[in-house]
Amino acid sequence: MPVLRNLSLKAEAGEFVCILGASGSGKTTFLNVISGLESCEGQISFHEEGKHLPRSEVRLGRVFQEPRLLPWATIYENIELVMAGKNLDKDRIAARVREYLELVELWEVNNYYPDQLSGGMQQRVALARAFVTEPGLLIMDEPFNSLDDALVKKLSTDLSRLWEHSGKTVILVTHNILEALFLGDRLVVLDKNTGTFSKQWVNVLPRPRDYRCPELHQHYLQFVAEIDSGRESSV
Amino acid sequence: MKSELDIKWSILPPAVILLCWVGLSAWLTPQVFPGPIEIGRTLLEVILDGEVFFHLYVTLRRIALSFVIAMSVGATIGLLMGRFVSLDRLMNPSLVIGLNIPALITSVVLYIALGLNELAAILAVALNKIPLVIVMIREGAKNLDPKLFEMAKTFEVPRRKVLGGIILPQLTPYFMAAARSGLSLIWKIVLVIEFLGRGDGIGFQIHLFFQEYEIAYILSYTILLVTVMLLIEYLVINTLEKRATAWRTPYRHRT
Repeated sequence: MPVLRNLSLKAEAGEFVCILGASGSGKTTFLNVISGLESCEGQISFHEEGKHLPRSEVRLGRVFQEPRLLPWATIYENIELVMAGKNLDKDRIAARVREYLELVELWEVNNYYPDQLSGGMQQRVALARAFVTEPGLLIMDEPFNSLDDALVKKLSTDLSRLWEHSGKTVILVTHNILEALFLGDRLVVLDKNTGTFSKQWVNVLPRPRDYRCPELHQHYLQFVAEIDSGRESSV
Repeated sequence: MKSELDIKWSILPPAVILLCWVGLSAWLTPQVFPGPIEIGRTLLEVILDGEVFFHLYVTLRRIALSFVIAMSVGATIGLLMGRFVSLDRLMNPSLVIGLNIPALITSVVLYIALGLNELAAILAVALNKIPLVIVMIREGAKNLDPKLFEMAKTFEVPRRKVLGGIILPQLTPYFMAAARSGLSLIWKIVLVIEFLGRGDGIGFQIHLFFQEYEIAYILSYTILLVTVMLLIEYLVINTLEKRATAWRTPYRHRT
């Protein structure tokens, strides 16, 4: 049974796109198709400065719902693993691992094992791992799903900092509207019933954003009202 | 840190065995079942004589060779069977047969087919152990975490890194279990093949002493070999296992 139908999404270079949808709407399936873990009828194409790039030349980074760290490797080794085969010398790899661990404020525990860290810290490591290869596209599958509110805000801030530092294109899937408004340049809603993108919202909130900012919460109420009213916009 | 009570409890079984040994020896007569003192005297004589070390070396060499062959062949086949369902279905009937053939039969058949030589001896031991290794590693291979493979595929981690960084560490507990059970089985089979058809080694010596009813020498040689195997277990296998699973230590500081 097809989960997704006639789906079309275009993300600009350096754009942060948030995909919203209810459970079972196909958000994870969509990300699996982009990252090559599932097949689809259709085309996924990548472009750089107007030129088409073959899939083999596009580097992806991904943050999963769970950290998916290797329990037998240290934090440093976990991040170093994804740098293998990227044609960088050891010094360059070491520098980049350190750079991204410092950005998520976890350099001091780089020789710890994952089970010595809290769930939130493990997810921060996963964030650093996703960015460290400086991928052409970053995809994130509800990365803060099972975390408490305070931690979500902290990690969203870390993610925002990483994204601004790297300037990479990000597609993040979430069911948390506030999180999407805090992070995204554009919000897209995946409709569970039709398996298509039913709504698009261009986020005009200026950066840097703050969870305490009243405008963020006003936009949240506006967005929820639009969803409830069933107003449609083409994507 | 072991408590005093733990130490006392761990001494109890060997002490009970020793007492039973003394009692059995007194009941059966020392000629049939020598007591600990008689065995101790014979053991000292054997060690001072020195010949036992040559036979110990020969036996240990056979154990090492068979072990390496059994573990490398068994682990490779087990990994492949665990990852490829079609191969598993194809080879499983042969595996079941291999698991159920007695070591004695394999040894005798190979000695007849290949002659009473070193090749037949090593092959007999390895062939007996390989099916057991395959079964253990296959289970490990079937239980590899698919989410870690997805992660590696997304990040385009090279195959050699996937093997060394993701597959092998997950197989370590199964590998260590196969190594432990393998070693304990292999050295016993080596004694059998030496008993049947070799001109040196601990098994061959036991065969000679058996023909001369020298039970004290049989037990002395056995005690020496068992001591060496225990040392290998505690000094080598235990150490390797601790290093490979250091990340599991429960007493490290948690953040």
